[in-house]
Formats: sequence, C-alpha cells, structure tokens
Amino acid sequence: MTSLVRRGQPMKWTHGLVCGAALAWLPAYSLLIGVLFLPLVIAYFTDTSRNQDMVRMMLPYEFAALIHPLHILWNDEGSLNTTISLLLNPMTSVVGWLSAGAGWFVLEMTLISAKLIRQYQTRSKKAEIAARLKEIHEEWTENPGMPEAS
Amino acid sequence: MAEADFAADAEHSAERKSDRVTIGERYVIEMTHALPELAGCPACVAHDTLSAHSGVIALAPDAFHPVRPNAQKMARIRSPHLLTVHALDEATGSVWLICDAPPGPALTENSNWSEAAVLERVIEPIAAALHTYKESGFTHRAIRPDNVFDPGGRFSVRLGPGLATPPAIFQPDRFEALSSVVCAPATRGNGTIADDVFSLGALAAWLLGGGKPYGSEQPGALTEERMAKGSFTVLAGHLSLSPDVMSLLAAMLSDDPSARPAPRDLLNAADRKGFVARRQVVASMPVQLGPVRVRTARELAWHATRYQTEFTGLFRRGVVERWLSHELGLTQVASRLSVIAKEGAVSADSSLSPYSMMEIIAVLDPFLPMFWDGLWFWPDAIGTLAVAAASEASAFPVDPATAIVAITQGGKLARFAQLSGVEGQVAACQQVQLATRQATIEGPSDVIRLAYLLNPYQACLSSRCVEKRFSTAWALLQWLNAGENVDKPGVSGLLDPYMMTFLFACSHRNGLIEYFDDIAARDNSPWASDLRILAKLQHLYATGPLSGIARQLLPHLSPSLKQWRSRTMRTRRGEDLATAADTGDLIKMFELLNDIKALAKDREAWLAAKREARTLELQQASLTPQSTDVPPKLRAEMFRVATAFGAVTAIASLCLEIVL
Repeated sequence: MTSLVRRGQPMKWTHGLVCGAALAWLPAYSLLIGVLFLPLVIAYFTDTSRNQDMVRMMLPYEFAALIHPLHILWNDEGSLNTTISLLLNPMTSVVGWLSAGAGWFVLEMTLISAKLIRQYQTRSKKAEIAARLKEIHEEWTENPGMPEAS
Repeated sequence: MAEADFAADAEHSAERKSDRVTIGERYVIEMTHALPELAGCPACVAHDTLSAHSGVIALAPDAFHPVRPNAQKMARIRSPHLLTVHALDEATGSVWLICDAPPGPALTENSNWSEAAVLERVIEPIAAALHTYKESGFTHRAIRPDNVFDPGGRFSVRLGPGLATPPAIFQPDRFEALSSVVCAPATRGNGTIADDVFSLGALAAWLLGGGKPYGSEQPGALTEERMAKGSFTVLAGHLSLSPDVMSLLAAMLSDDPSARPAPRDLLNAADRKGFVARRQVVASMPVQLGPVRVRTARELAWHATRYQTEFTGLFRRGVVERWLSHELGLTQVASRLSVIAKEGAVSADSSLSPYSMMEIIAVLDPFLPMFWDGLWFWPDAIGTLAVAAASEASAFPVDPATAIVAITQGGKLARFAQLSGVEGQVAACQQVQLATRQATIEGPSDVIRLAYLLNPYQACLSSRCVEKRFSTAWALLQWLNAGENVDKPGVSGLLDPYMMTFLFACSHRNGLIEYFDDIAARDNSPWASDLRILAKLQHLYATGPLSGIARQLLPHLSPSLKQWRSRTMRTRRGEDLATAADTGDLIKMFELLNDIKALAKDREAWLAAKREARTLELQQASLTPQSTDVPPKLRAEMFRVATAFGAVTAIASLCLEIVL
C-alpha cells in the first residue's frame, strides 16, 4: 500500500470493477493474463522506485510471451479448459514468468555495460592526464643534473 | 690596437720563456739576473743592443709601489747629474724602466765628506738637477743617501731616479720636511721643489755629520723635537761647521718652505754667498696644551691634532685666538679662527667636527698637509693612500678607505685647497674630485678604484697576480686566458674585485667607458658578472677569441642556465654555450645567458604550463571511482532502452505468431 500512497494515486475502485467485469465475461483470458502477469504484480508491490519503471519496462516482455498462449486461447474460443491446460503446461507459465526476468536481465546488462564503458573512458582519460602532467613536470622543473656541456 | 697587442705577444712568448724581454727593440732585460734595489725599486740586468758600452739597468716597480703617474714626462728630464731614464715601457704588459746604471756606490757607503766636497760635489750638481725638475714642473722627492751615487774622484754625485716609486714613500724621516714627516709615507704626495731642497739640505747635513746610519731611527721619533726646536737645530745644530755653510743649511732646512732657497740659488753654493735663514716667529709666553708648552703656530697645529680635547677647550674659550694675536701677532689668523669658532658654535657639542678641525689646522699653518679625523695626507697622494689602504691598512690610525670616502664628499678637498698655502693644491684637489666622480665612489670598497684612476701605471693589485705586475688590461686578459689563474680559497669567480677594478680603470683610461658603473652590474653569481664584464671587455678591446677564459667560466655558468625554466631550452642553451665557449666567443656566451626576450617567452610558457598543470590536476582529482557510477539520468535512459527493446520483442513475437 505504501507504494500506492506514495504515488498519490490510490487504486481506484474502477480498477476493481474492471477486474470483476473481466473475470465475469472473459474468465479464461483473465485467468491466463492474471497468472502470467504474476511477476509484474509482485514487482509492482516490491519495487520501491517512484514511478514503477521496472513494471513498465517488464510489460512489453510479458506481452511478447503472452501473445502465443493468447493466440491459442483465441483459436479455442476462449475456453477455460484451454486456459487450464495452457497453465498446466509448465512451458507456458515458465516462459511467461521468465520473460519478465529477461526484461530485468536486459536492463541490468545495459546498466553494466554502460558502467563498464564509463570506467574505461575514465581510466583512459586519467592515463592521458598523468602522461601530460609528467611531461610538463619534466619540462619545467629545475633539474640540477642538467646536461653540462664540456 | 689590442688585437695587434695579442698578436705581438704571441711572438714575445718565446722570449718570455727564456726570461728575456726586449724593450723598444733596443734594450734586452735579463729577468733572472736580479741586481740590488735602486731607489727602493727592484732591478735587473739589462743590455743596450745599440751601444754595448753604456751601462743600463732595468727597474721593475712592484705593484704596491708603482711609478709616478706622470713618469713618462718625467723620464724625459735630462740632466748630467741625474741617472737618465731611457725608456718607460709597457709593451710587455708590465712597466719596465730602463735607467743608467749607478756610476758608483751609494752615499750610504761613503762617509768622509768635507764641507767643500759636499758643496761642490753634492749640493751644486743636485741643485742643478732640481732646477731642471723645477723648470719642468716636477718634483724629485727621493733625495736620500741610498739614491745618490758617488762616481769617486772629483766627479759630481749623480742622483737616482725619482719617478720609479711613489713620491717620498721610502724617504727616512730625517730627510723629509716637517710638512711631509707628519704624514705616513704613502700620503706624502708630490710636494714642492722646496721639499726637495729640504731633502738636499738634510742630505748635506747628514754627510757633514759623518754619515751615521739612520736605519734604526723610529719613524716619528724626531718629529716632536723638530716641531719644538726647528728641523735645522735638530738635524744640523750640533755640527761644527763654517758659518756660511751653517747659514746655508739653516736656510735649506727651514721649516717654512717659502724661506728655503730655490734650486737656482744653490747652483753656486760653493761661492758661499750669504744665506740668511728667516727666523720663525716664536711666542715668548707659551700656551699650555695638555702636557706640552707650545710656542709656534705650526707646533700648535700639530699638537692640536694630538690633544684634541684640550685644544677644543682652549679654542672654545678663545684662548687660542688671543694667544695668536697677542703673542705671535697673527691677527689675521686669529680673526679667521674666530669665524670658524662662530660657525662651529652652531653645531656645538663637546668636540670639534673633523671638518672644523681640518679648517683650523689649515688656517694655523697653511703649509701643513690636510688633516682629517686622525689622518695627515696631501690630496695628491690619495691614489697612493688607496693602494696602501689595500695592502697595509692596519698601519694607519684610522681606516684609510673610510677616511677617503669621507674626504671626497662634500667639497672638503676644495675647502682645503682654498685654505692651503702650498701651490698646486687646487689643481690636485680638482683632479681627485674628478677621479672620484668618474670612479663612482660610494663606499670604502670602491676606494681602490682611485688608485688605478689616479695612476695609469698602477699594476693590478689582485693577490693572484700581484707579482706579475700587470699594468695593461690585455696582459691580464691574456694571463687569465692562459689559465694560470690560481683559485684562491674564499674567492669565488674568475675575477676578484681588484682585477675587476683594474680592468674597469684600463677601459676607462683607453676611453672605452666614461664611468666605472658603465660596465659594472650585479648578477646573481660572481661567475655570471665576470662573464658580463669580460664579454664587454672582449667587445671593447676587440681581443678576438678568448677560449681559455671561456673554458674556465663554462662549468660555473650552469646556475645561470637555471634561469631558463624549460628543460629543452636549457639543454639547447647549454649546448650553444659550450659551442660558443669552444670558439672563445664570450659575447655570444653572454648573449645566450642574457637573452631577455627569450627569457620572457620562457617565463610565459612556464606560466602557461603551470596553468595547464593545475587544470589537469583538478580534472584528475575529479575523476574519482564514484564518477563511474551510472547517473540517474542515464539510468532512466537505460530503462527506456530496455523498454524499447521489450517493445521490439513484443512486436517480433506478434509478427512470428502471425507468420507461423
């Protein structure tokens, strides 16, 4: 609940109404979506960041994973049995859930690579500065043992 | 000029090795064959290649007793009774005099003289020589037994040269007039011909007195007695001589120079014409000055300098003036003293200032030398005094160098010249003043410049080369170039102050510089300032390459190279410097080290580099490990990227679903 309060946008009762209506008219679809979107629900409640970026980011991946089961369900005219058989097939739920993880993984990968690139840039810059400093130091410091012409 | 000198000297070098020097293409000097000193001047064997029978000797005046400034003109004086100076030569770099060999032993070795012999063989011939001197405007100032030579028989004696040493510097007290005796030997000055007449009289008195050795007499031992009783009484009073000779000696030994006969009057001294000695005014009532009872003005002047406190008391109470006008009848002197007393009263304290003292002494006896703060001297001897200050300063009651600085400032010399009764003092004082201006005397260390400036034959006084007697700049430069310069502990730099002053004076004399400070400048290291001076001299004298000097200077110039902050620049300059040193081009070396434009550029570049380094350091400090963290903005970007990638995946998945 804290996250909802923080957003300043309490879950409206209309959401409940929509969920209820969906369950009443399209129980098979709602069940399939509900089960496969479980990681998003968990992320929604556990993500402490301000604007639920994680959830929004994971959403398209979930969609990608959902398209195939939804297609099968559509072909079977939305029967609850198909939904249950789909959900009982571990491949469906595992792929659905993993897709959320894939989204998270992609994000982490981009973050890490960004970090690595920045580190590399800093290091090379540092080396460049050190080299220039050494050059200046050698050029401009008094050197008692200067080459003495004889 | 100097180039020719350098070239000429290369030819000389072979001769120099064999210790033979040829002067004026005529006289050959055997430097290793030393003879006994003549007139206090070291002598060597010499030959005249044109006439083998004429006996000549070579004189080598040492650096501390140089020949007199006008020696070249004095050498032209000819008299049958004078040892002729045939040549005065500086072509070898040091002064050599070629002079007739003495015709017999000095008078010190011959003690049997009759009155007639003294008159005919000593007084008359020397008076003739002195007359020639007087006509030429010079003084001899070296008439003493060891400088007069007796050829024996009935021949007249011959007088040794007077120009080979500073005037009267070796004169024993008994052969000097009172006005000269009160001074230290170095400060006796040229004097007047009357001083020579006194010396001649003293010589005659000494001969007639049996020629007793005088070497053991302490300087100043007879002065007090002579002041009290008169020189004649002390030096000749005890002799039993004919009245004519007595009166002659009394006139010659008079303490008043104006009362002495002129040399011309002595030309016929043997005719025994009557000389009348003018009697000095003596007070019947003496004035008590400290422990002494004073009877004459001269005595008062001399004792006043010894008992200054007592004299000041008498002077302030007006006792001196009253005594002078009542007892001696010197009303003029008394009135002049009262003027000084009034002026002095303005700055009244317990003692009289040196300036007032100088004025008082000069008024009391205008024939006495200048007295300044414990030091008696004649202004024309200031050059000699400067030499003495360098060699034997401790022999003086006060520091001569400090005294000279005080004397030459504030018109004191001009005031003395105005008060003095001795002719030629105005010119002498003006000459010293001019020299002071040219030498830019600011402190006691500058005083030595006067020695070189007032005597063109003054040899370099540096302890490193004093025995070489260098009197010309090129000779010293050549010696330095030959690398014979020995480093003395405690002296850093190639040139010591004496050499530097000597070189300045030489270039001043040759008209290359007008004032001493024209080529002097302060550098951070003595070697750098040596280079500055030597480079200027190389330029002024056009000496050609001086690689010997350059090589000696080079290792010591590295501190000067440090003013270049850039290492590359330093290295390049160092290499250029070495190249210039190899070619002996001091001017190039100096320019390399004193390139102001390039130095400014170097400094600018250094400042720019410093700024750059500071910026870089700041940048380096800002590159901390934290800065590698992903900033929130980028993080949001990454979210968007991941979302977009997700969207693409979703679309791809949809497409696949449709296609399959």
